[in-house]
Amino acid sequence: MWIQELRLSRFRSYEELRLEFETGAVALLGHNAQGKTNLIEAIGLLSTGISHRESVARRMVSYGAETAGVWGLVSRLDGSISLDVEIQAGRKTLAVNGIECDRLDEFVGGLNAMVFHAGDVDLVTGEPSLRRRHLNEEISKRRPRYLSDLTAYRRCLFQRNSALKRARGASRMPAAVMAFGEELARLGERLIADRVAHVEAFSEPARSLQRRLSGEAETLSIRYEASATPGEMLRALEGAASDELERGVTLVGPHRDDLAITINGRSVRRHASRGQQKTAALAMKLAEATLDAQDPAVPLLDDIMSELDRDRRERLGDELARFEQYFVTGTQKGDLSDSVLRGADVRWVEEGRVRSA
Amino acid sequence: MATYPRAVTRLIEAFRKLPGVGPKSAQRYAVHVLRASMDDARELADAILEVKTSIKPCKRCGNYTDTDLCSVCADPRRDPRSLCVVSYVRDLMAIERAGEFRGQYHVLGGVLSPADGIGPEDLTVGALIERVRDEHVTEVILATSPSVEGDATALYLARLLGAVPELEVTRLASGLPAGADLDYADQTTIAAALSGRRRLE
Ligand SMILES: [Zn+2]
Repeated sequence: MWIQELRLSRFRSYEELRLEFETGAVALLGHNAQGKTNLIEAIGLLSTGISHRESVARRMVSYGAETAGVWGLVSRLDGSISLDVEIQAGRKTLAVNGIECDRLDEFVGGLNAMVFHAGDVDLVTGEPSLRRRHLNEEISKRRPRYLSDLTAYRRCLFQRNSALKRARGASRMPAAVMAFGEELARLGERLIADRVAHVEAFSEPARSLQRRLSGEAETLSIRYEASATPGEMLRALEGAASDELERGVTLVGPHRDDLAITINGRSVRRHASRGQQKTAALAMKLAEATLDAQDPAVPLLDDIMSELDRDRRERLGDELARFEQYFVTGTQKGDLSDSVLRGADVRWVEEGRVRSA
Repeated sequence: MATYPRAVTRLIEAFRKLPGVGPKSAQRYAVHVLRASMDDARELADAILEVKTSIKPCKRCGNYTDTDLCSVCADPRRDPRSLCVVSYVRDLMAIERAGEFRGQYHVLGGVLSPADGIGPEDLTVGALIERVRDEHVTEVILATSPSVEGDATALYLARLLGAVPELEVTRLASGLPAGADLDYADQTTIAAALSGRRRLE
């Protein structure tokens, strides 16, 4: 898929902006703090309904303005759709083809865009919760049911933990806790199955990407580490019963799972170089972006290329050529690879204005 | 600044306690009562008092009634061996409107919600077990709402009733949209859900 048109209204540093694009590479160049990342953020917002760097919606509204809007026209394999995000009084309204969505899952997935930024390396080096959050977001884009399962799971977990806290120190699991445990296992196994399927789908493409980006030197392996195998979560909960009664929290389930990531058989978190870690995060997300092979996602690379050494940067450029459209940012042309710059639609971003080169 | 006399303010405050009534509507209702005829005002006051003095929960099922047994429990054509368990009376009313179910009801008075401190002892679970045992019930349909709490409550009851020999326990839920209350589901959906209820393992 690709983005045909983007309009911003009082979004961050932009007063009113209307941009049209073609397929292929779009390079956004300019000094820092001129509005490049705001454009990436706006496109990301059309994809997920949430900002990749801001949890307070109000802060995306221009200083002094009441309402901010982001509108995009997306060309998909199955036709064009328009997506609309309006932020007013700290609340977001989402619409697809002009029809307001009641729920986030009605909106997510219209545009499949993937933001790449410097913080991505935390995906492989940081806390397990970051990897779980990433999986939740990626799977929600593709399977609307996942998001409602996740919401129900969290509610069930909250109820079960409340019951466990009350039962703390008891010798036997109260029947009410067990009832919420059964429900938790039912929902949890569905989440685990979806996550396992997702990770299995992208781990092989990610391995090939890491090999090519590293000049055939590195073998990346990504595996989902589940606290319970399908059909076994209830039994795993029963096995943890005495610990849970002592600590008053649920110790088994997808809310505690993680990804096991290795390069050449060794833990990426502990034994890989910074460059390898960055490449691994990139390979993982690029692989996810190609999961829908018929209609791949739109990669949005915010200051990623300048972070890589020359060889990896050129190889990344070659990989990006396989996407129908992608966006890259940098402070100057030298930040980007020759393979990207060749034929790219170059735009200069300066003080909230965007002009063609 | 002019204010209403105390009696009017009292009425406005009383209306404000109703669900979905804000200060503006409360004021409008109070003014309406002020302008109404004495007969209409008395009718409203009497209706409120009557409902509070004469209506009580049905001894057997928990439905609203003005006699000992509600109209469903007192109806000899309703099959007492088939029991439909609901959270609230409004769910019972929704199923009655669909007109498919010919058995009797049991109103739990809520769902399990440990976060709100609501456990089995806060629901009419004990009475349900007694009824199943004493009234020779052969089928229990669990019609708690299809939410996390409603599902957990149904699972809890299914486990509890699982010990009763020759009792079939089924769950009414599959046809209803997730998160929807029975109250809001339309009649055909409820009828479809009733015919498609599934057995709990
Ligand atoms: Zn009754």
